[in-house]
Amino acid sequence: MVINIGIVSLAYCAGCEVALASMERFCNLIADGVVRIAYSTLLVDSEKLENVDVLFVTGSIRTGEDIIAVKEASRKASKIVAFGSCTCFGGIPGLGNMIRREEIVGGVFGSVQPSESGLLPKLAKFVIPLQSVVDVNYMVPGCPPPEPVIEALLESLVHGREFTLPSVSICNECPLNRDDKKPVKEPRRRLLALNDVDVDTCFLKQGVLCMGPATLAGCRALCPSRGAPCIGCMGPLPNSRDQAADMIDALSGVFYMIEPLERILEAVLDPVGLLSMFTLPYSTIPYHRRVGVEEVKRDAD
Amino acid sequence: MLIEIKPVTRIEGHLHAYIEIGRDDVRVQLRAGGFRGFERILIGRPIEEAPHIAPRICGVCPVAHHLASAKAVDALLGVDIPRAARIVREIMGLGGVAQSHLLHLGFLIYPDIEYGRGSDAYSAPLFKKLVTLRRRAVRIVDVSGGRHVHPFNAVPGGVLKLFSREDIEVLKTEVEYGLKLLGEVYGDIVERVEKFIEDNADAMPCRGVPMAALAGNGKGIEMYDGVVKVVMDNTNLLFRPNEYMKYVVEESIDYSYSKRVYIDVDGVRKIFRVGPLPRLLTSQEMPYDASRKFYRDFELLNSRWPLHPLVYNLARIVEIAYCFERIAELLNELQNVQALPRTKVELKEGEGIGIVEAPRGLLIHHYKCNGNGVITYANIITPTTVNIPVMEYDIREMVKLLIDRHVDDAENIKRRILYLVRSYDPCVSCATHTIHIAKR
Amino acid sequence: MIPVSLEPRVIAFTCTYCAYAAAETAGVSKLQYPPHIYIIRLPCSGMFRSYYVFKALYNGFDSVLWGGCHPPYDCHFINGNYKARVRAALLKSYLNQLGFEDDRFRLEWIAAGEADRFASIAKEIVKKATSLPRLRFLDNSEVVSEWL
Repeated sequence: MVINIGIVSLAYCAGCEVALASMERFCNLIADGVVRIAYSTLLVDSEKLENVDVLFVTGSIRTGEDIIAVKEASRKASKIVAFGSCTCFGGIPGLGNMIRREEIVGGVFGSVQPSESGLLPKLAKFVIPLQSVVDVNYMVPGCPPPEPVIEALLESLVHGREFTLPSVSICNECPLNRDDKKPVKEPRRRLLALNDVDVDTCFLKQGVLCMGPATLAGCRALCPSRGAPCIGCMGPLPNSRDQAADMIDALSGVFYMIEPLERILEAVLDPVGLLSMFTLPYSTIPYHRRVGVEEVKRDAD
Repeated sequence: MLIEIKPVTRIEGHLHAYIEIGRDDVRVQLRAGGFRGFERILIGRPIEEAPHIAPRICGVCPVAHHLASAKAVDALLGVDIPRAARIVREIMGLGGVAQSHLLHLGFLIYPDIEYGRGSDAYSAPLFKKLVTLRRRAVRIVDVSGGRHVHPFNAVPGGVLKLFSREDIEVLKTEVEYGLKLLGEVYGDIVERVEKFIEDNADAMPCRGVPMAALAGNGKGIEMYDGVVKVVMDNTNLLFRPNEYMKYVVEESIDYSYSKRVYIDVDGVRKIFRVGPLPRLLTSQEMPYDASRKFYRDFELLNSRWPLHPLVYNLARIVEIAYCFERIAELLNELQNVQALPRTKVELKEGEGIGIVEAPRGLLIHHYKCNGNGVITYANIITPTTVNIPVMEYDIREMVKLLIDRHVDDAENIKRRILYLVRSYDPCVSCATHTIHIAKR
Repeated sequence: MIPVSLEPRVIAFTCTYCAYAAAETAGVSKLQYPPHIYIIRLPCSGMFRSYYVFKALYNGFDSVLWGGCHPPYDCHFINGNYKARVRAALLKSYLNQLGFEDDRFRLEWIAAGEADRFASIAKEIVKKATSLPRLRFLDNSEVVSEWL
């Protein structure tokens, strides 16, 4: 029985599709006819999505057209996969929630406004995760989803094995997490830390921001194992819904003896950008005050 | 007659093509949809995060964005990176170009060149070979960049990690295997690409459009660093990356989120072409065996259909060979270079521009930051943004030619347009990343 | 949403051994402090999770107060208050970047014997909250309903 999949790409970068196409396992499934890509504007010629077994959605929900398209697509499939951090949490385009949509487009194209010509999709008020529009059966986080996670997903779709994500943080898988009782160094921003950081030792212990404690495991700590502090692309742990809040709590546990306190603020100089780089639309307060907050009258007025 | 291709398939990104064939003229609009606003998102971010955010513009050419971004930050901070770091970055870039070209060859244009198969193309044995070949390039970027989709090894001042002994062995093996596989499939691929061009080229004039590419001191194709060379009908123009604003001009259009880009020379604005075809035609002599041989085949084809967009497909194959061979040479050089991964960096207010050759052509990243190391301005010009007006021009010329020949079957014309657009290998998500402050 | 009976609404997280004790004493001694302030008792300021600050604001509280023990020696659990201090600094920075007024979140050290200090802080916070606009946070479904 061929498994028909459809890939609907919203405000995407194609990285998730490329991650799929780079996996020999996936290509073999296609070449051997086990999986058929029935719809994907990147990979096949079908101009319209017909009924499929599994719908993969990639890319953020940024425009009205994205919302309408994905809602319609959801009716054509029995299983929906939110593939990649953009659909799961909003992704990096979610940082656009710091800016009003009129400001993002307006004034910047000069006197020519593409969105006013009626020919191009208009922006939604702010970026939202996929689950706010449709019911999601599989959340596959990552930017892009790491190979072990994609393997597990393919196993599940082809052989029916249950797809589960871990429930622990990156620190659990990280090779740099050794029990050395090294004293914690002073926090400083990543740029200056480059001058003396040891990329084979825990970053937080050296005063360098690493999102590991607040980020879901599953990638085998890919970035820390290759010299880079984690930036949080796998999103928050399942029993948490605010990655930035978790990271703030984690930082307080590591740096509570810091004097003066300003040091930690100098290191985390862009809190929203650094602590919720991929997950701002998924956070408790998912936008800037001017984007998503209204002032209302008090009952007493 | 109105031909609408909504959406254009087997390209990266969202693109709608509108071709209005009137009595006297043909109007072409390539409408790039999709929009995320990276140049605005970058404002307010710490400068060292730019090389992490930039690759997310595109998952097919993330390496190019990563490198151009890192170069812009280096320039802004006023640092020169150590030779070893430069070699690692170059290898990353070359691997990125190879994997992107192989993605295009093996997935995007493949059903068009694998005749008689149509949507069944993926069951052909050549497909599996191309996937295996591409995996070599993917592994090279994994090792040199950390990860092939959204790499992270390049940082301000250099790279995070140089290669270990095992890494170098892995890379050498992958390069060897890659060249071997390429040799095995070359004949089959070239046969298909040549047939594809013969069947669809027609005598389409493509002269009059300037070409631009990086030019360096060495032999072969310059992918990482150099000056920008623009080849026009009767003159050549050379400028350094940090002078690009004098010559490269952007203009908004109301039907697309991608802007129009021109070369401006003494007030005269011209659209211009970037990518593998211009790179090969402006490059120096090929220094390596396989790429030299492939280049000769390319030259023959180009002489039959000079500058034809479909010839881009053969140009890509030459570049794949060049990438692998150059990586081999760089690995050898690395043995004798001091193992320093990066130079020291300091906070600095400033402005920096980084230009690399992305798989699809010249890519420019331009940032400004304040004394606190926070980005205050970002401008990114991608190769597809540059090429879209050229595609419109080419489509117009081609359709006019077909109409003159009384080919008025809409399906046929539509197919030719698709082949043309796909041959440019456009990356529309790159082209529509932006919002950009038009005032300077 | 809890139905609002008194506006503005302020929520105070207090630690058992210091700030809550102060609040209790203030109540027992009939020191006047406004009823608009809802008090939550936790064992220690080290247990004050950042998530609840965001959630409180999102769900309609006009401002949030954290009350803990004075550093360096008062904390019953030794260093809970030091952790609260770091969290509060980061939270303030985060909320500030999101465009929220500085008066919406505040950390204070209030010893068990400082009942009058608790009362005066409570009065001050409620007064400041009165001058802050009441906020309504847009729900994701409102983004969707613009198009569907």
